[in-house]
Amino acid sequence: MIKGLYIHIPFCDFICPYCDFKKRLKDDLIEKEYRDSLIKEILNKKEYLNDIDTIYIGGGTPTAFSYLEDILKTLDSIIDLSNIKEFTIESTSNRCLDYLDLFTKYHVNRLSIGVESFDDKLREYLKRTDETKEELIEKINRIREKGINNINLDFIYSMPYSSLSTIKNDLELIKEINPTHISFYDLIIEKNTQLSYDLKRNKVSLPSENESVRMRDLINKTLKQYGYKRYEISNWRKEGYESIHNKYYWNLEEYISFGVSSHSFYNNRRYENISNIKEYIRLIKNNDYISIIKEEDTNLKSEYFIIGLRLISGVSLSKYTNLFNSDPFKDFNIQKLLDNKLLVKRGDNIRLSKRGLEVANIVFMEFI
Amino acid sequence: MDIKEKIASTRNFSIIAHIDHGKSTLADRIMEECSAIDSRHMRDQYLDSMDIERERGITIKLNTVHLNYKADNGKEYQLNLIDTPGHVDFSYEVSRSLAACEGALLVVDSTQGVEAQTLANCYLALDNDLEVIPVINKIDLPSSSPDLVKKEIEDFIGLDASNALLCSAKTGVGIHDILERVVHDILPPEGNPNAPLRCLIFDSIFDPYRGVIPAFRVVDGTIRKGDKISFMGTSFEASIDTLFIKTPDEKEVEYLTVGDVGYLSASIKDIKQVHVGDTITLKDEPALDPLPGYKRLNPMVYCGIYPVDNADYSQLGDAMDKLKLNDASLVFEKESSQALGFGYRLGFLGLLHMEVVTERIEREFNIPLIATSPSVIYKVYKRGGVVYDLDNPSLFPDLGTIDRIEEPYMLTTIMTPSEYVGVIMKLCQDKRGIYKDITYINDNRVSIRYSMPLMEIVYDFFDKLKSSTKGYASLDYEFEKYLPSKLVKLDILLNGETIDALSTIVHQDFAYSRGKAICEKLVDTIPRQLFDIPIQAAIGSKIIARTTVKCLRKDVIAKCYGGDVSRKKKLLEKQKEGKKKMKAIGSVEVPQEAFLAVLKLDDEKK
Repeated sequence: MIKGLYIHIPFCDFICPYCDFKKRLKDDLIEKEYRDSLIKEILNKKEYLNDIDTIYIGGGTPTAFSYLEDILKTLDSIIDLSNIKEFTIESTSNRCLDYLDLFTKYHVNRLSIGVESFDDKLREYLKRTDETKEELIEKINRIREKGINNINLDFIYSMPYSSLSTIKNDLELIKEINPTHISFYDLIIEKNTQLSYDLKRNKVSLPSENESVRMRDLINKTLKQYGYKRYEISNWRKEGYESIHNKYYWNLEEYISFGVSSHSFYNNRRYENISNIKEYIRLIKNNDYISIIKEEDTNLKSEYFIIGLRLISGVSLSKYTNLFNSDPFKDFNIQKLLDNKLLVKRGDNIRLSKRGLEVANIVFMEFI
Repeated sequence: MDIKEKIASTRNFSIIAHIDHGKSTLADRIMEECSAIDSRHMRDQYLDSMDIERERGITIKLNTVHLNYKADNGKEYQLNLIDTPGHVDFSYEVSRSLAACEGALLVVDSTQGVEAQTLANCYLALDNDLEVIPVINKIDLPSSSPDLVKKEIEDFIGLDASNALLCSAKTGVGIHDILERVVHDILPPEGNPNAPLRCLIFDSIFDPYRGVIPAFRVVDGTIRKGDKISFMGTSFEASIDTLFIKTPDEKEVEYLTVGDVGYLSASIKDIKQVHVGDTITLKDEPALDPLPGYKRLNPMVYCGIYPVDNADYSQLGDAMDKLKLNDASLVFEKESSQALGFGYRLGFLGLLHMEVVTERIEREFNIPLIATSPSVIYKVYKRGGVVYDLDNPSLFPDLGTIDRIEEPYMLTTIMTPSEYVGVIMKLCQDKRGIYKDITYINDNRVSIRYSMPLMEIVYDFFDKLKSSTKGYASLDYEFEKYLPSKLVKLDILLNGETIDALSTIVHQDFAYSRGKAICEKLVDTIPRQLFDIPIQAAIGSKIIARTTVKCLRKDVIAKCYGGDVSRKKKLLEKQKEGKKKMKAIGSVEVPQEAFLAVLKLDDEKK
């Protein structure tokens, strides 16, 4: 049963130097064509959407897309949006009020806002100098006044210019805004991003591993004090506000996606949509819905653990046995990970230990 | 054209030079002048066909090309050009190609002058009775001073340079004159086309479809397609499927005669039957005596190589048999290490040779390797008069049982602008060199000679020489003698365990500083792991240095978003691949580079 729906909007007002998601600068001509294609793709697969109960529109910056309303209208015509449990739209903070009225009209009940950090130097590097903390707080209040209380803020640590004191300030901001959900990511240096070039040319530098570890420990400790529960490696929530949609990913539930470079999982298979936007548009113009999709390698036994163990609560061993009719201890060297105290087993449940959370990749590699 | 005329119009020559003096570019221009390559297919350094050669911009292997040249006198000539390496480690390639030639172009960079390898290669050519034609290259450059270089050639090499040719291989100026001189000054090959066949094998390659393909020069007689041949050294017999020359594309021919350079394929699958230096003759009409082969060069540097994955061990053996075919100077035997399992001990002519061989095994045969730190050959004199060779630190004797150990010293020639004499002499002294003499090449350049321990040359002498003279000094060396030396074995312990593959033999005066430097280097090379890893350097049971690799504190893919699971899996797969390239020693995972870390120490503080 496909319960999650993801829609990818690849347009942005500006490009963040660390980002390697599929995105491009806004361009009205392409946006129009993309709207037409996306709508066609959604309608073409509408029979897959009968059981959808979460929707996530991500990007890029969905709120930078001039035709977002046409997409919402299309969804509204085929799905009863008032019945959707969780409907999230991503936005940058400076765009987050642009579609506020539409959000309430179409039952969007969760906003995910990319803040990243409020350190001045870092924001200058991120080209986000046009907004103050106070303005952000004011915007969040406006959103809440409209009845959208479920708000996630994205932050990143180990960035250029970040230090224990900038992280402290960011944590203070979190305390003040008090959102229902926090994603606090350790920076990943991706190839072919501006950041990777800037690092190579020594234009910016990163905090040392030791500093980064101290930031991580401070974040864990402080968010806990603020009443957040860490439920995934990089995600924290207030009671009752775990992201339902994201948990579908982590629990190997089925989800479908539309738009360039988006990923789906159903019928025990993973699929990726074509990532070239012009090809995507051209193929859909020709009604070629087959060529836009490519099947990806799927190994559910392995994914059960490498995705499932991202959840702090861990995974069930008997569920694995039932799903695959196979013994997980025979399929993988779980015993070694238990012996090394990277995993903890309590009855049927295994999860990452405190140490395992720090070096989760070492654990995941056993399942590859 | 009858055979006699053909022989009279053949010229075999090679190009010799110090590294980077423009030999491969000159070969390009000569090929163009002879219209050997369509301009559309021309690329720089055409004859450097190995990937490593093209990437590093150096020639490692000799390579041949057959050219047709119409001279100003109206006659057609066949030229066989053999391009050769310039680095000291590859002089055996040079000496082999020289044995197949009657003449050589001695290329000297007009902005650099005579360098150590110019001298060494020139003397190699003169020893082989070759006609040496001095060619002064790069005259297009503003800093070029051909007259000074001519004087250096005369004063220092003792070669008449009054009619040395001036050229620019880059612009093509002077190339025509060079070819005219080749046909006039270099003698045609001598030999009797009617005598029993004798061909000297100077190289061979392995082709997966055609088997072993020897490269040879016909010295006497005539060889034809279909001939039944015999290799005189191994008594192996075969019949020739095809006979070809390189122009530089392969071109089949019906026969080859005195002086010709060519290749043959005869479905030879067993690579052990073909040796460089062997003589090919006819099975039914054999020659009486084989040609004198090449002087076997003894390796000077040894190291162990081990497959990262033990399952690759037998493939590694195959790979070395195939490389040996192509690289006659390579010697190897089986060995095993407690830390690394089964591997081979290889002998090399020098450090660049070692780097090239290990890189070729990894690339051409796709076997990830670990190379242990190189060792020279020590002579161990036991009490009671027994002497043996020691090339493996793990076999270092108990000092109580021996009389003395001797290490090899090289007669080392360094040519340099005179302003660097001071720093070079200090460097040589620091590296335990013994001063011999100093000669002025001209007012500004000198030649300094030292006896240097080979171990120090292998270790970092060359890098230090280059960096302290801004690259202006050049180096050549040859074996001189063994001298007694106070040597100790320096062990490295990881997590409390001695790693035999990391042991080195060092002079006792350097033991502390080197132990410390190795520990510091290993800390940077060994990635953090789940637990702290102490690294210690020890002589016998005495710990002389210590560092610790702190345990891994974070290793997490932070983001898993938009349902893109495959991407995360790919990242983990890549990380796992990287892990596979490391060798698990006890509970510690050690990357390949760590084993060479003992070699490349940047700053050794005393």
